[in-house]
Amino acid sequence: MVKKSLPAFLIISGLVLGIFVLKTSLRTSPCANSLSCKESLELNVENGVSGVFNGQKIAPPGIDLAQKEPGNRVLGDASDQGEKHIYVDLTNQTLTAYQGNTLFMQVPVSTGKWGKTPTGEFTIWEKIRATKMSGGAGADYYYLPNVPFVMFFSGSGIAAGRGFGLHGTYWHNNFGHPMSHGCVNMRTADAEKLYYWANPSTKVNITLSGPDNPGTKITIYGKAPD
Amino acid sequence: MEKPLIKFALLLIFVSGIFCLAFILIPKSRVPAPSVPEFVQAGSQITVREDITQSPDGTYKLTMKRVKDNGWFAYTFLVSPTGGGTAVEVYKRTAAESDRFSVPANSFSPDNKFVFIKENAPGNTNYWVMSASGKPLPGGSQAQEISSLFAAKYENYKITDVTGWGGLNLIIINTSQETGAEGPSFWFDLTSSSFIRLSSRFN
Repeated sequence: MVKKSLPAFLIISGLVLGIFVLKTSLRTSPCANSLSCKESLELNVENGVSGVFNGQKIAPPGIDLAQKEPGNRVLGDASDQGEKHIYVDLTNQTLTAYQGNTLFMQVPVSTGKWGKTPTGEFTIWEKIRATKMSGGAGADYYYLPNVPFVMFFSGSGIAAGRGFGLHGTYWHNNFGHPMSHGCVNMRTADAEKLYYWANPSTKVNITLSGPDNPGTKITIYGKAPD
Repeated sequence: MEKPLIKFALLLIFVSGIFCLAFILIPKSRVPAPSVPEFVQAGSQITVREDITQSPDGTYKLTMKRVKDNGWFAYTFLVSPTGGGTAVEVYKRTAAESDRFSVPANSFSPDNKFVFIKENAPGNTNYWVMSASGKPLPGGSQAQEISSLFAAKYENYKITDVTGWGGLNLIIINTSQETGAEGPSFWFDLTSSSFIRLSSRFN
């Protein structure tokens, strides 16, 4: 009797295990933006296209890639003043940027609510003037073209292709409180300032870090409020 | 020789006594009060506080000016482009000293069309929403107070904080229960002046 039911037991156990693994892998999408995923890593400007966030239709701000850089920009160099480092405090929902011991900025941010923001030591590997981000499902679905001033980071077990980054935000104003799908949401004005300060230094609309133009280090720590 | 000297001394004391008495008795009100023109008086009111917050994209700022006025405080809220330009008065209130208005950091809606402000009054905190253009809100009123609207609808919950905007016209409200325990979060939908209870809390 036991011998007869063993194969059936193994098949059922295998099926249950398979369903569990599949469900878990679907729930924890490897990408910060589950739908756009790799597409978010490319320069993408869609002026005139509507976005969706929290069930609402949004008109994203237009982006002119031909626009000249502002003259008062703080460029991402001057290494003699010390190394640049960005700290993101999940507990207090703040971002602080230093060059050596000199404070460059301290601003409120919004980290992961619907998806976790990873903690650890990271490096900016790509900067993009604007891209598209989409993901979620049902009431949580979002489609956000023209996400401005994106700084993708990798490290601490987070691969570059997963699309975690710091970026400007035009679809909410709830900074200081978790409000993202895993990225670090910043006020657009703050993101612009950080974008032109942080390395890799950039003069075009998409820049990859490399040995001769390394990215700024980012430390993400703490625990976001539940 | 001594008698005239005594007489002179007495006369001197008498005369100085009269002077002293006159100095004390003559009312000081005879001195006319200085007249100050009204425009000078208005200009000398002290701006005791000025709060400023910027829109997330940095293009607009909301300025709160608080001026002391005959024991009361006159509050004026102005929206203006950060790059310079005409300021629009979006709200004006006169309040007692015990009422304190402030401008929250997340005051602007994501599209810069609306702003909200906070009023700390004795015993309660009120939140006012208004159009950033100075025009009436979708409902027709110049400003909408959220707290009393919420209290009328949800007796079992109390607003603990209004943190910012979850969408173009969705204001995020956190609440507590009557027992003091954590309550749910709500949206206040400005276009319909209605509350939407949320399944997850926005801490």
